[in-house]
Amino acid sequence: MNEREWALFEAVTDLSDETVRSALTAEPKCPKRTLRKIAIAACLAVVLLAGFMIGGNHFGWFTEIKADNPSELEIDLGYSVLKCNMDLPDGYELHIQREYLPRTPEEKALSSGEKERTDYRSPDCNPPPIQIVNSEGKRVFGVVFYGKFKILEVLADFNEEKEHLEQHPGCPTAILEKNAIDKNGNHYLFYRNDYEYPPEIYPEGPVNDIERDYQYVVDITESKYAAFTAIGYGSEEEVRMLYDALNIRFEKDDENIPEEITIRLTVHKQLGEWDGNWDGDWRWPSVDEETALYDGTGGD
Amino acid sequence: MEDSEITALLLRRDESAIEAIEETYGARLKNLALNLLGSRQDAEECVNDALAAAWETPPQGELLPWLLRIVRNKAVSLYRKNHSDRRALGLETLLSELGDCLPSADDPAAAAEGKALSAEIDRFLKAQPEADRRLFVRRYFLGEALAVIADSEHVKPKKLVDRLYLIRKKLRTYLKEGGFLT
Repeated sequence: MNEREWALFEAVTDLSDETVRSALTAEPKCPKRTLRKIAIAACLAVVLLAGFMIGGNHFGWFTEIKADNPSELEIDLGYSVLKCNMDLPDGYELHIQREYLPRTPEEKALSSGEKERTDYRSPDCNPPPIQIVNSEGKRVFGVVFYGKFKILEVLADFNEEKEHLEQHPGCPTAILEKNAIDKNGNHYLFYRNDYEYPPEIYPEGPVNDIERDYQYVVDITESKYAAFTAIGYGSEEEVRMLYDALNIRFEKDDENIPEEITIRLTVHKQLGEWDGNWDGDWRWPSVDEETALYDGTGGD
Repeated sequence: MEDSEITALLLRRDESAIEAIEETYGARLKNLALNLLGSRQDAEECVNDALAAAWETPPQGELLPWLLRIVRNKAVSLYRKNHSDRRALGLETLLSELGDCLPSADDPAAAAEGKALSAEIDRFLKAQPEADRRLFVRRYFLGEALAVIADSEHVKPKKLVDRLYLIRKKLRTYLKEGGFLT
């Protein structure tokens, strides 16, 4: 240990009584978000989109849903119902397009209906985004659902993350991929579904394998913003507009399968400050045109 | 027994003061020593040394923070004395983490004088949200393990790692901009 570290250690020793006392006597409050997490884990808010057409009780692999004035959305996933409330800005309408991107010939058979899919728990079950398009048909919003469904985690207080970002833009936290600030000073966060373990914070790597798969869903019942994962889709211009996207990953849990899983979110028609380079960090999975199979690159 | 009564006993050189300290704060003092030294044997020796020092020195400021400081100083002395034979992982880990607050090890500039540096760190902490201040003190003053803090704060340890990392970075910037570390 070098002398400078010792000097710092000794300086900490001489902290004032008041500062030391603050750690001795203060009783940590049960974080509000913990109570919220409990509530959300039990039952998230559900809002149905009026006038929403799904085309059958089950969400098919190729289904387009269009709503004229979408405010609520309900998606029947077969063993769970996903409901979203979306307040779309003017000029935007909701299209739900579920495009399955198969990765293997077997999945291709499943996606085309040649083979019946019965196992929604398959890790390869990879429902594609729900997309919101504007009046010109350009996609501006993406939501990704996965075949395994379980509420893994509820995001911490957004304001905490926001403060975090303000101080450390681009900080490689567990959930943060990118951040953007629009011209009104609103912050937008982009989350990956992978947990980053930067070596300077986690020299020994992830705590455990389960945490590696953590997916964060933000509670926005009181927050202004939605959870985000930017999904690149279409042209770069369109990608720039995909700042608000909810990446929801659910994992089926035998012990605790909720009857309903719902997310409330707000769509923002906002463009963030973007350097024009997506950096390949997140883009929609590319598909081999010949085989129509997901080639394993990009996105998730 | 109230702190004021214990302090009065110490000032009167009444030996029951030591017993009163052990009864009132013994566990806290031992925890701190154990957090830093990692060995029960060393922790006991440390606390004994600290109590002896407390007997010899007039109390300064609030009783418990004063006692804790003595324990910390004794822990450092014990660590330096036994360093070649044994490792105090807790203390070394804390030192390593606090190293984040320092600029490059190659930088020849010395840190500010101890008291001035302490005052600046104190000022920095007072400007932080209460939760972060508490976290910093629990981790770097009391030497508490992340798992212990996480459990009492109802958060996951990894969240604390992130927060501590940010606090250290902020402190480093603060000290650097204040000219206390170049």
